[in-house]
Amino acid sequence: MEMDCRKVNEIIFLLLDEELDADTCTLVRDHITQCPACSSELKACERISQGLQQMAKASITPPSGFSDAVMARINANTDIKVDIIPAKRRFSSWYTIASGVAAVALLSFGAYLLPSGTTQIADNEPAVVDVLAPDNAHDDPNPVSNNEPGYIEPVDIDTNVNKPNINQNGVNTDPKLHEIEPVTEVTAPNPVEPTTDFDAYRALLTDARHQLLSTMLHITAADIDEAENKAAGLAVNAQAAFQPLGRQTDGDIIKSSYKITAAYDKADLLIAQLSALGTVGSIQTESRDNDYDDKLQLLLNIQNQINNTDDVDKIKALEEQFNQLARQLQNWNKDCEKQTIVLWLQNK
Amino acid sequence: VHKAAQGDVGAFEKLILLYQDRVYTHCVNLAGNYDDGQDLAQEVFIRAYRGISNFRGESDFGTWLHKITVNCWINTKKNSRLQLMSIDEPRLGEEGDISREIMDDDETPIETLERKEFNEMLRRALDNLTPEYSAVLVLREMEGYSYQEIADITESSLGTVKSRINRAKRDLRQQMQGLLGSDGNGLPESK
Repeated sequence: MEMDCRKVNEIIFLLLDEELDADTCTLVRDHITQCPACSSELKACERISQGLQQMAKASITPPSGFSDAVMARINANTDIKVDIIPAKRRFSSWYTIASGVAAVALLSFGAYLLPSGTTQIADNEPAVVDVLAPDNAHDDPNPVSNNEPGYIEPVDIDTNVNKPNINQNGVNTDPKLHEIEPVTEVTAPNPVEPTTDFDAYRALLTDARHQLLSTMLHITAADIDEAENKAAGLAVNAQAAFQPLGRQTDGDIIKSSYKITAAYDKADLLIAQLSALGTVGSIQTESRDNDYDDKLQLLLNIQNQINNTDDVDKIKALEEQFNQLARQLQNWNKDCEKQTIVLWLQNK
Repeated sequence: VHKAAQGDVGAFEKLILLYQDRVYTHCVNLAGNYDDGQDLAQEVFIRAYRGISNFRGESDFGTWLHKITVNCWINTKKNSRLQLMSIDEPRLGEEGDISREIMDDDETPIETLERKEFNEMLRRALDNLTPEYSAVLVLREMEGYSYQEIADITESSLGTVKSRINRAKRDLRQQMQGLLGSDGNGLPESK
C-alpha cells in the first residue's frame, strides 16, 4: 500500500494511539520520516493529545453537600437541579442544601411494570420512588421523613418566635427547630388492603379524587426570616408538613424555598394565607393524573379476564397483577389527598 | 447495589458517596467547568436512582454510571439545557482539585503561559465538537480508557469508536489550525 500525505493525515491519530496494524504503522512511519510536512503534522497532533491529557482532572471531590442535594431531589422527586452553596456562604447545617430554582415536588406514583409477557401500562415516566420503595412506603401519613435532610418540624410562630425561654443560667431552653416533635399530621385515609372484591374497587377507585395537585408560589418579602417563621406557623395551623429546601444568597439578594405538604381540603386556604406574606410574584398550580383512567381501565380488564377463565393458575397470576395494580391506584388516591406547595421567598 | 435496587434509599446514598468523586470528575472533564459538571453529576445520580432497578450487574456499577454520564451529557448538550460557561470563567484551582497539569521543571513562565493559552483554545475547540465526539475524546484522552472500554461504555462497536475518536481529533486539529494559523504556528513544542 502506497502512503501519501492525505492518507497519513487521515490515520495519524490512530498511529499515536497505537491502533494501526504493524504493517500500516511501518508504512506511515516510513512516510513521516521522509516527509517534513507530515513530520510537523505529527508533532502538532501529539501536542493536541498532550493538551487534552493535561486538561484532565485526576480526581475531584464534589463540594460538600453534593450527596445531600442529590438526595433532596430524590426525596422531592423533582427534575429541577438543586444548587449547593459553598461552605463559606452557608447559614447553618439545615441550610446545606440550597434550592436554586423552585421545584414542584410531586409525590410520585411511578411507573407500573407488569411481569414480562403481559401488558405494560403506557407511562412515559421512568420508574421512580414508588416502584423502588417498599410496599408500605405510603403508609406513612406524613409525607416528609423526619430524617430527611433539611427537614424542619412545624412551629407555631405566635407562641414560640421571639419569645425565647431563658433559664436561670441565661441559656435558651427552647428546643431547636429540628428537635421539635411534629405536632400535626397530614390527614390521609387508612390504607386499604387489596381484595378481590371487584365492585368495592370499582366504587372506591372511580369515586376517589385522582388528580395530584402541586402549587408553586413565589413571594417577595423584605424580611425573609420573619416570612419564613410566619409561613411555618401557617403550615402548622393548617396541619401541614413544612420542610425548608434551602437558602441561597447572591449579593444582598436572599432566596429561600420550602416544601409544604397540606391536606387537599386545607391547601387553598393555606395558599391564600401564604400569599399575604408579601408581594406575590407568581402562583402556578399543576395537576397530574398519572394516566389514572388508563390504569383503572386495565384493572377492570384484568378483572374481566379473571371472570372469563377457569384456569386456576391463570386466575392466580391475574389476581396477583390485579392486587399489585390496585394497591398502586389506592396509593395514588391517597397521595391525591395531599397537595404540595413549593413556597419561594425572596427578599428583593 | 442490590439493596439500592430493592428501594433502599439509604443504600443508594452510600453509593453516591462511594462513586461521587469518579462521576464528578468525569462530569467536570466533559463539561469543562465545575458548575456545569456538578449539575451533570446530579442528573447522573438522579437517573441512576430511577433506573437502578434495571441494573443487572452485567457490568461494573461504575461503568454503568459512566454509561449514564455519557448519555446524560449527550442528551443535555443536544437539548441545550446545559448552558456552558464562558471560556473566560475560571476553570482550575478550586478546592479538592487534583489536576494532572503538572508543571514541567524546565518550563519558563512564558512557556507556562503559552501552554495555558493553548489548552484554553483546545478546551474551546473540544466544546465545539458534537457531544458524541467530545464524550469519546474525554474518555480516551482525559480519562485514559482503552478503545474497547469506550466501546462498552458507549455501547458502540470497536470500529465505530476508532473512527469516532479519529474524526474527533481531526476536527479538533482543524479547529486549532484555524485558531493558530494554517501552519500551526503557535503550537507549543511537544515535550
